Amino acid sequence: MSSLQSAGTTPKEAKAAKEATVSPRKAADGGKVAMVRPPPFADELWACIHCNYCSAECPTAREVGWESATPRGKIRMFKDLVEAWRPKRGVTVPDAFIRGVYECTSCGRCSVVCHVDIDYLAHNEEWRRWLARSGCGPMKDHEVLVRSLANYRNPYMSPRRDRARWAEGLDLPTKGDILYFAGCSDSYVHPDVARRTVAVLRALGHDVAYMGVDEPCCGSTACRLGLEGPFEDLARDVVARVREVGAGTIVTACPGCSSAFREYYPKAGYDLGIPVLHLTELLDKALASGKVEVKDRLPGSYAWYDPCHLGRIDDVFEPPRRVLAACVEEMVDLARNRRESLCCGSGGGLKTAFPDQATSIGGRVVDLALDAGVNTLVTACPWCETNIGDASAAENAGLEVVDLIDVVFRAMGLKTDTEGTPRRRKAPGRLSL
Amino acid sequence: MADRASKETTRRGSPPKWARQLERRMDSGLVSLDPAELGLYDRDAAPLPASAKWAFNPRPDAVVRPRTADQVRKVVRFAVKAGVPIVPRGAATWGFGGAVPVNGGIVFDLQGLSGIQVDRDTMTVTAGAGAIWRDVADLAHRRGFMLPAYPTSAPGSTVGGWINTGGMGVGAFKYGGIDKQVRSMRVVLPNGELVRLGFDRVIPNSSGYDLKSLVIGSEGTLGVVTEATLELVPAPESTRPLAAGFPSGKELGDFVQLLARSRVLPFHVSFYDPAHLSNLERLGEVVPYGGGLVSMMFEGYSSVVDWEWEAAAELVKKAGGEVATEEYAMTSWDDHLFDLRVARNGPTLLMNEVFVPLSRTTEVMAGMTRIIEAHGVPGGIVGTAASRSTASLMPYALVDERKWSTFFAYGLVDEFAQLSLDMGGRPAGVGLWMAYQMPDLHSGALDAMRAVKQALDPKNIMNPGKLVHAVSKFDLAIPAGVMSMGTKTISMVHALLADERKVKRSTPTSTATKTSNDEAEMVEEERAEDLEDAPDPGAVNKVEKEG
Repeated sequence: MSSLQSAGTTPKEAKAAKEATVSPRKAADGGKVAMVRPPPFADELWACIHCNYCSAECPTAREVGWESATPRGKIRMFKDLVEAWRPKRGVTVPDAFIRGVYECTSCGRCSVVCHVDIDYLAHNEEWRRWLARSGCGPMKDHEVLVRSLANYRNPYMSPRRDRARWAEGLDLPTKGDILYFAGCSDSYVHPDVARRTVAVLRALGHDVAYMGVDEPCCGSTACRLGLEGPFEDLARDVVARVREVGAGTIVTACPGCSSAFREYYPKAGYDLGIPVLHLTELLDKALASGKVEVKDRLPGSYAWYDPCHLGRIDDVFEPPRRVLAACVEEMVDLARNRRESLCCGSGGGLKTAFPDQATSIGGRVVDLALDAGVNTLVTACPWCETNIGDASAAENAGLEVVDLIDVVFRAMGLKTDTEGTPRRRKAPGRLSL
Repeated sequence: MADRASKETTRRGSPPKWARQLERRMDSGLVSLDPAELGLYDRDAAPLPASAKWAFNPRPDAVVRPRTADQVRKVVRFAVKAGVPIVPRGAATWGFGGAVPVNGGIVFDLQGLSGIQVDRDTMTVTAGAGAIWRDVADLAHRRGFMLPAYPTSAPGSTVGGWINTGGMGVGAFKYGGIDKQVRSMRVVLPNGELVRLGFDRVIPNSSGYDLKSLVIGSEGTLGVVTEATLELVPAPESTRPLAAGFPSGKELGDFVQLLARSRVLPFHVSFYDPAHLSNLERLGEVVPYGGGLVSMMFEGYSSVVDWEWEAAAELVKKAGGEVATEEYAMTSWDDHLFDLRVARNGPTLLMNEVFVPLSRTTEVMAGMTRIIEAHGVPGGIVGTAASRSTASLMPYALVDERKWSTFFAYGLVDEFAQLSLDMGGRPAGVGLWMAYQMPDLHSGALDAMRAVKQALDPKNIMNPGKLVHAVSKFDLAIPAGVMSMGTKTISMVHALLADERKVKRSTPTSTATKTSNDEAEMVEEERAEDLEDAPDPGAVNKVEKEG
């Protein structure tokens, strides 16, 4: 049994649930009937003191407002479900619970701020797996995403043949010391980031390889949505292809990919066998060893924005700051930074099912950046770049959001490589996470 | 009044007619009649014993989340007409049941009123009732100011909530509580009118009745606060924490008194009894001073801060304590909004909050320790110096609500309150659970309070059953004697059960309990015997499973 499966499910139940095409049964009084046994109500959840610390920080709870969207509210509803479940009758899961469980960006702020140290995010993800296994989840709006992952190996409904268009003209080999795992977002939505990453890595003297059109999604989207089958399918594929490349290190510029590789893969028993670095960590090491030659620091003031999965989840806070500080005239921190950083609103499947909420949450980050007196926000996550950019556009705020690699690329005085660069594809809003 | 609503809500599952009408009249998305949602609004921070539902019907019939003061007015007018009770609610982080309905009705979830604006000219911040204190403090800080005081629950609690509970929290020792902070507020009175109480730009000490002060601490019984303008102070040049360890509760108490009688003026003073510290140890935290800990923060001009810090350190030594490293002091300060993390050891936290004369702090703490020990459950005391004259104490017990015997532990909460009354103090709040004590607390003045309530809220729709009137869901007054006898009985049963549980303790001996009192000495002897019996000297507050 995969360790990602809930402890409350027997291997037999898990197998049956996986094999069966579970069609959700609507309950007469609203909600859906879950026949699969819910995971147990964990001991630590009893310690919730209703202090509201999590809810006051939770980006979606603040947007939605109702108790059913707050972690403390969901804990209470889940407790009732565990107590009400019976072997042959199952339990009716109210719509408020299903919606609440998916109204989560998996930013992990709740787990950090919890008064009694409950790792709420882990529970919410476990409940998503249970809902998916029972046929009660994910949300209807996620269906297209699920199909896209199965058919196209990316969440964007984009053809597989376009996956490596970003690399046209770069002559990238499929064998090398460093495997650059571009990820779905940089491959399809931010191809310029992918090209510049390769240019910088080469300038630092690395022998860069890629997987070409065969690169699959890392599976983080599936995993965060609680879709065990699709996740394991993608993870198996990634592990096999990584072994084929035979590189010494994997580098990715997407915290979704790096956190999946470092957090979910080991939990589910998948071993990549080589170290995983987020690009910012590699750049920081290169900076420390004097390899990054900054020709001209970019003028002006830039604010660093901590992506949730790079910072709170993967504990990478200082490396990108050191890199940015070395490349610009002035680096400032937002009032909420590091572990207290606000979520951009894009993660956990929220933007797919609740796009307006996602944009509104991104607006809080835009306000914070403007309050810090900067016009450019630098981050290192394609999801954050897209969603905060969307929020800025929605507000006509004029805030520019760029990836750290853009800043490094320009500061190193590398030439803009326009030849062969594919046209930037607009992110299909409802599909991005 | 609430009769009409209560009759209709007895038909479980279908919302009463008035609730449907309300839903139709309000903008979409502001009213919820979803049973799953309503079920989440039946409690506050205190875990609700199932038996409470015999006397009360805490589940609302409708929850409204207004986003503007005008929407609040609209709902209040509707409720007056329909004769439906209204229960204003902030973030429901209090434990006295102030935001818990006595018998259904409308719960006003005010967290949607969350706007915050700092006015540099008047040095004030205007915040919606639902604004979270931490957000208010953050914005004030970004604009070069600081809040003179905020609740110890600041990361989760609301401005309106703290006003209605008359809060004394962090910063109160230096600047006073919320009562000193509010310059004006906007309130929707039970007649549906939105009024300004106090003055926005100048101090509101005269030129009319001070109705603003009437509302502070009124627990939502006089109107719905929608917005408040609070005074700010300039941000300090420097801040410096000081932590001090003491050999026992006695020295700790001596220090707090010495401090209160000196001219040293810390921003905040909190203190922890040995039992609380051993609970932290059980969480795996490093506790260098097991006998008692005081944590303070100084702020202001750096030269003044340094002078005060040195003077306080001298007082620590004089009282027989030891000044901790500045690093530990900072760690201790960082945790000042997370004192209740000990709940993880419970997992159920039963607590009370009382105000007692600061001069009797040691005595009251010893009494509370005796109460906790008599019940044979782990517990502890977290205290703050609310002013030079008054200490605020939060005694708590750690129990397990999954066990049937926990029901009887609820009486313990009442014992803490009774002890504070005997010592010349009072409970920090009244709400639902302490309302029966009001005649003892105020005697004749209670009639005057009821007259005020009657004048402002003749239909008694604003948070009925709280503060001035203790009533059950059957609209019958709860006699003080009955409630008191009930809590005393269950408390006695729980204490008897404690003997059965054969509590083994190996907590380091607390001299907080070493008073001249004979009873305390007996407790010490019993504990010494327990120590001899204890199989595992490393175990702290170990409670054997019930046979």
